[in-house]
Amino acid sequence: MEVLLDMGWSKDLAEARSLEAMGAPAEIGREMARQYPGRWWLWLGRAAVLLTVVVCVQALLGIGILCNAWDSLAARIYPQLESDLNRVEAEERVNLRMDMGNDVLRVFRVSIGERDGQRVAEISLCAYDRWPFGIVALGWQNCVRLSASEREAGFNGGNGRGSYGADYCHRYVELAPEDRSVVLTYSRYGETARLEIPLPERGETA
Amino acid sequence: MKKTKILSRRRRTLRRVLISAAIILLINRIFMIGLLFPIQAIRHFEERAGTGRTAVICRDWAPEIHGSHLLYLTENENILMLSGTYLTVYGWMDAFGVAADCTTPAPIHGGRWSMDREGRTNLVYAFCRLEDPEIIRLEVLAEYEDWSSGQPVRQSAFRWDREWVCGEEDRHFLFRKRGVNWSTYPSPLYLTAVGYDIAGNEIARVELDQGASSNFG
Repeated sequence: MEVLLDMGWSKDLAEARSLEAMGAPAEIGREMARQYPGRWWLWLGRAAVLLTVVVCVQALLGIGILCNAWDSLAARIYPQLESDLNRVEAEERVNLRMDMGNDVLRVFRVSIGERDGQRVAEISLCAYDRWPFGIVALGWQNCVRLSASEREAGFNGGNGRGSYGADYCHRYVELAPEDRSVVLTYSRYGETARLEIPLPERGETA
Repeated sequence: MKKTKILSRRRRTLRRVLISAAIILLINRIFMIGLLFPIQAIRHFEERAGTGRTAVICRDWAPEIHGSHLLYLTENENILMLSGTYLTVYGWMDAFGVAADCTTPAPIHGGRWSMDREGRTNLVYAFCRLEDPEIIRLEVLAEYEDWSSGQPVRQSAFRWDREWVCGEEDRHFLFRKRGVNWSTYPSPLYLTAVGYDIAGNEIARVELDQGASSNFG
């Protein structure tokens, strides 16, 4: 069109002549479609982009869910749960772990002290998924049993807390003066595991 | 002049789809949302229940609870599980479930799940797996306790015989009862699975005490 204008054509005439030279739009469209087949590829690509945008928006709205991942990381690195003992005689931080289905059960503190007038061992436990962003199973606390010198503790839980990322709880077992260790057993859906937990010496505190 | 490589539509689309799939999978794993398929939500519930991977036996649609509410009966060697999922703005989300422990020897393993939506529509499900090959017919009884005589006497509320959602061939059964009105029964309902042999004799009777009740808002 610029060439025609340089040749002295009027603007309207140059525009009309240029459009004519480009050909019939419908015919060009048909030829282009024949040349570049596979329109559904185009729509598939657009759908993929749209879906990704939608899922990213969902992730932004659910950003608080990352707290679960934080809990899971904290349980791996430095798990914490306040003791429920009335008086602590000895306490030791330990790092004993065992597999529990898809999860890991960790014993992170062993305390000896008094609770409700009895001398007990308080075993502090946490569970988390093997994958840092994974979900920890519910109800594992009911499947954990403690025993010392063949005496099995009942379902004797103290305070606890939990999220999708990690679950914490205490378990207690009454101690005899000669006890040097307690045994934790896990049994659920046909899977069993056993862990011997040494008790801290008197006066030993973490 | 710098040459620009123009990708074909197909290659460009494939590249986009691959990048999208990677992003979506990452978000699925990290945020646990944006699930595109109901079975992904069932996998989440498996994690939550600690059952390990289960295989799908059958599924049922429960529009009374949510328009998209699906229930999956799944199992592995140690578990028979009924779990739910429904579509939300965050994608498919798990809607609880019941995992029945099948590790103790028994002729019938199973469980029950009752659910309602805002107290209006009530559904009761019973699910069973036959372990005894002698059992050729299964019946599930729903009973309540009648205390009018001063002692608890079990009275029949309803029963399932052949109205299963799925079952028969693979010895897994899923029974459903719609519109159960709890207020008409003076006690909770007790479900019992009864197995009969080929001669019609009762050879197994197991109370389906592994179960849950869910109230959806």
